[in-house]
Amino acid sequence: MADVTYISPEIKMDGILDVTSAKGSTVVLAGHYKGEMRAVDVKLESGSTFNGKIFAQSTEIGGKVNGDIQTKSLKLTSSAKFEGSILTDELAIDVGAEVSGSISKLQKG
Amino acid sequence: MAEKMTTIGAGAHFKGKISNASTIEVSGIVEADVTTEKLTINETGKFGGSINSKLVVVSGSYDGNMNADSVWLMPSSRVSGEIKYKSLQLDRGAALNCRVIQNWDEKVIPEQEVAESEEQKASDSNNKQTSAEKA
Repeated sequence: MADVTYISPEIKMDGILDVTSAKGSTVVLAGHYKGEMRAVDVKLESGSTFNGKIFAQSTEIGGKVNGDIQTKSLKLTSSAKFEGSILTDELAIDVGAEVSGSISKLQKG
Repeated sequence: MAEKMTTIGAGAHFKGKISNASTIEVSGIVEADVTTEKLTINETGKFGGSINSKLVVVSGSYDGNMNADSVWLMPSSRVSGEIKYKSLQLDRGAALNCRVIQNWDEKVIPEQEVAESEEQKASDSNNKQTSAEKA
């Protein structure tokens, strides 16, 4: 459990989070985050807010996001509210998710 | 309670600001200013920055200004900077290279009042001087 980075519901974080080392790679956000996040797996839970940039292998969004996402696979669940730009290879959007912005493929060709 | 705990994992590196927290556990590297109720720095954890907390438990390394009611420094801890505390437990083996201040009265006398009373003293002594000159 020490390898997972969990940001609890009422917390506010502002800055740069880098979780790309081999020891731990998962970030779960339930609180409020502003800034940049680099990780392998990112999960933004329902009720969370995110403002900034995400670089990850796989991303799941259930909260409110404003910003840019660059990820191999992306899932927007029914509670997601997204505004910004998406760069991804695999995309899934559940019924009910609010998405506005641009969506493009990560690797062209 | 587990829901309210924020964990910075062993491979994580965070730089920035953390606020509105209740319990934080650090196993990775954190460079931040934090206000919380309980903060734990695990053996693999490294923390740099100011801490304002009720309880701080250090097993890893810390550098910065800490202001806490209770501080517990475990045998594997390495601390530098400054610690302001009400009660302190220091285990055998803890490496402490810092300024340590016991601050029972800090909350009773806010800094501003201290500054004001010092100004008052200064103006009082000035008045005394002028009255002495007059005499």
